[in-house]
Amino acid sequence: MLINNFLLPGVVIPLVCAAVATAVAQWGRRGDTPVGGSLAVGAAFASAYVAMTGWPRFPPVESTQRLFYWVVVIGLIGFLWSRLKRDAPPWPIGVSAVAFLLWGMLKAPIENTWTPATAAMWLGCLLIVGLVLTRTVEASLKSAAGRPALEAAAVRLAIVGGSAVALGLSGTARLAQLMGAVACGILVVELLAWRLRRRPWLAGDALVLVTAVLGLLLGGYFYAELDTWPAALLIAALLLLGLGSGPGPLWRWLPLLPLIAALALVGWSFFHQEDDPYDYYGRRPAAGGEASPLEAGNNEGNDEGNTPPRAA
Amino acid sequence: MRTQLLHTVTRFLILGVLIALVPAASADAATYEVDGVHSSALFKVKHFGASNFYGAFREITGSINYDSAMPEGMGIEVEIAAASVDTRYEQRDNHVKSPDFLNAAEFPTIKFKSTSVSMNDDGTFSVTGNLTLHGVTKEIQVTAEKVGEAEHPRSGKQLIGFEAKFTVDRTEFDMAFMAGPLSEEVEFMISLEASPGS
Repeated sequence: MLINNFLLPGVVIPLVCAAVATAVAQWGRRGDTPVGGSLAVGAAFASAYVAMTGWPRFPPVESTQRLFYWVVVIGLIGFLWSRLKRDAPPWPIGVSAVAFLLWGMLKAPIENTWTPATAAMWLGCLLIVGLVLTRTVEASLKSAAGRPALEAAAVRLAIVGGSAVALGLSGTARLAQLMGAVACGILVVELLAWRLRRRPWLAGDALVLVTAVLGLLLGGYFYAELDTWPAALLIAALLLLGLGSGPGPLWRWLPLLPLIAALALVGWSFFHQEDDPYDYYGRRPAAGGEASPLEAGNNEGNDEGNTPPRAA
Repeated sequence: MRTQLLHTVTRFLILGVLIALVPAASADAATYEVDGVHSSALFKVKHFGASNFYGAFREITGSINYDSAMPEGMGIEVEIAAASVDTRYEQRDNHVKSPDFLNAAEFPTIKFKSTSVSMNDDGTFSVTGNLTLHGVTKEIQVTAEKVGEAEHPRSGKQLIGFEAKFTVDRTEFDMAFMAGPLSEEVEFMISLEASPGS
């Protein structure tokens, strides 16, 4: 079950598809051109989605279905733009991409729950966050050539991988696997860049990264159990990526601080959940220090009170 | 003039006979509001092919238009709050409510609305209607039976009960996560008690 339901769709298939997509993206490219990752990240995300739950319905009815199609579109736009211009798409494309992402992910509360004022506040704030994120991730990708490549790659992978862990501990394996697939796409690009001794990313790749990561974090916050502080800290980690080009090693590793804090909060919450009042799995001893019914059953017939050997 | 009077009287007599022949509407003909406290919505899935697991939903609302004299004219609307799922273990409840399965925050209501009803030879009903689950609406056919009728001893209200079982393939409603370890077929068992609305 672990292999078929988690490792295969969440790790193996995204890695393979990202590698194939990267090979396609590299076709006809020589010299010091960057590897470019829009196609790889898009392919990793899309292949994981299809492997887990099949091809999404069209027109989409669910937020993650809309995210699937949007990541694919943005991945293709990023790839084509990078081949033509080798630079970041102009800001109207970025604004449209983030705005459409927000509408796609938040259609349910917009239509069913929020007042117009609440919707305007949420969408306005998240649009600003999304645009700033795009700029900081672009800055991080542009400066990647100027820093030790492994260090920069490690920070990026840690943030996206850590976000996957946070989503998994927040009650949704599906969103966690999709985030893990994005991490697989990033890993393939970084490995290929290291192997070919090229820069890994183009500035235009930031849009697909922000679309996938921000979209999944929004899904975790609004539809799963990712709490406010962990979500905000994970966003902060991404925002701090743009500071990585500053002087000194502290700036490069700074994004890991909010990531570690987010994981600590989520982990503490996960491992300190309230006990099930019905003690469904028989973990809690009965009142008065007596053994639980499961333990009492194991000790039956042992007159000397010795603890029998635990069953394998 | 006598002929005209005779014709008029005859017409009124015929009309009166025709009206008398039309079956009188039953006193039961009414819109019954579902009593969520005395209704049940259960579901069953197979776990690793080894056992059946049962869960429930705690919040059920709806209405039934029913006329005992014309049962085929029945109309049923039922709404179940997806977030009221109860598997007797909070962590599992939260997982079922998550985007992995029901995605209750995005799709808060499971709805069924009948479009046609026909009576079977054994007295049960074939109810055709639209089931909206996880944002997807599909037409399904359900076999329902009337459990009974009674008068509430305190309120004097007329109570009526219906029960139905039906099976859906959750992957057709875009809930394909863990298909295999958890069966794709989910059987629903709905028991409704309703009384005339105020």
